[in-house]
Amino acid sequence: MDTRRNKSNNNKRQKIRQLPEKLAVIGSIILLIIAWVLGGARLSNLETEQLSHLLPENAQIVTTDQSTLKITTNAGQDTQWLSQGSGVGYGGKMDIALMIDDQGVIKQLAILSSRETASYLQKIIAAKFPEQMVGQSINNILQVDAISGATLSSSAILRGANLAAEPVRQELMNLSLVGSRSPWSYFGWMDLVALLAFAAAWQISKTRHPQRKKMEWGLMLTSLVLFGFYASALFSSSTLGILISGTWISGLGNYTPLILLVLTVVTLLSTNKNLYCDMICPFGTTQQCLAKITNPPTVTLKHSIFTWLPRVIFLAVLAAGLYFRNPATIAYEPFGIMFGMTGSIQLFILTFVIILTSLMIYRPWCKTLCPVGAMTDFLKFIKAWGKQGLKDYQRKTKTTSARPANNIPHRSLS
Amino acid sequence: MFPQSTLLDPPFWMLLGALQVLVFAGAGQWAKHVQLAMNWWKWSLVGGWWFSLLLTIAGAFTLLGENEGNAGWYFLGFVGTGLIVGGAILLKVLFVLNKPAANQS
Repeated sequence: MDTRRNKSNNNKRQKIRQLPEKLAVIGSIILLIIAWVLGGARLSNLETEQLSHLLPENAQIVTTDQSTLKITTNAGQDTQWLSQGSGVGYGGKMDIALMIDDQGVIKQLAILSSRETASYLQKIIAAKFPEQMVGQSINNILQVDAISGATLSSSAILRGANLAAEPVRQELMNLSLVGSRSPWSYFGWMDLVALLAFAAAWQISKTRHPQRKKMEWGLMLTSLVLFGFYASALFSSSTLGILISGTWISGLGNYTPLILLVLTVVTLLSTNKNLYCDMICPFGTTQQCLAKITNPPTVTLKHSIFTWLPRVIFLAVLAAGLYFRNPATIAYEPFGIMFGMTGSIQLFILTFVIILTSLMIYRPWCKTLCPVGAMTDFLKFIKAWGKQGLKDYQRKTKTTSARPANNIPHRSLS
Repeated sequence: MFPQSTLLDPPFWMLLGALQVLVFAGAGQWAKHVQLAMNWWKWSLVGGWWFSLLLTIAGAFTLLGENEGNAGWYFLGFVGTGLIVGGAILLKVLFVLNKPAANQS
């Protein structure tokens, strides 16, 4: 009897201790939903505003299609077309609007929405990529050389412009030049490598082979080369933003980080093992390689600020990504600089501070700001909470199903 | 170095040259203290590393002085960090190579 009472008291105490974390989980989910709803309204207003800027004064809309407007100005003497199309860049869908005259010449081009990392878009704008399409005739497929270092974003704009031009091309010239694209065309061999890497990590984690350490290092170095220096396909807070905002459904330039993230979450929830951090993360391997040179000490940061700060930063980044409908809005990971030489000067400084610190402390990024740590904590907590809830529910149902038997009055037994 | 003065440049560079002597003399003493058993090729590697580091700093600040801010910082960041990591590797190699000699004695 006493043991049962002690158990129930311990349970109650544990529940009270976990209360701040439970409130933080609920608060985080509510904040993300609010950011998503407000972001949707903002995006819709922004697109309408940008389209209205493209429309000439005293324009009269003659016909409307799903994505194309036929417009007349000068009392119906001049005809123009305002047409929309979308292409898929590195971060997802990019919406493009074109203003085309009745000769089929592009007069204006506007990027209505983008989910690309700011540095890629800056490269494109600095190279005047959209301006190169203005003045081109749509009787041929639009062609502009992609900008080096922002190839996927350039291709997305070009495809969006060609898709926007297609209905006008059909109407004016009775021509159809743009073919449809299969959803499978977005998947590449690196996605298959991601699956194989996880399968290998899973096997290595289970094996008791004497060469296990060497196998781990083999996989880590392969991942460093392939997912790091070759494809720069590490997942980051923006990948999680892409996953929860659902933007991946309309297409992504690169699915590999998303596949790595999904596999990490699945293995974490099903086995409690973080295979990605242990054997696949290229930045983790970089830090570990640097640690091999100097054998630095492992420092455990016990103060609660080191637990909560990365969580708060991660939540803020996710909320901002959902609000701006661009998960890459505030990327704070050093992966872009380390493996792609792309990113802001602040990230550049952060990256080199971490690399140099890795010579003195074991895996400093993983122990401080890495969003994967915060995500892992969140998922593990949710899983434990769910399990506890299920246990409580089962216990309650057991008690209630057992109670009627105990409470049956003696009279009815006879 | 000092565009407004014709006098300060020569003593500044002489002072930096003298500092190089001090750096290498100090490094020699330290190598003896930790029993690194330095020879000509080890000194060549260390000298090459130090020269590359100085050249990187000089190159980066020249770029900054030419108003090529991004190029300067990126050069200092990428090459400088690479050299520091390379220096750590070199030091590790020197210590590892020294181990058998230390065991023999």
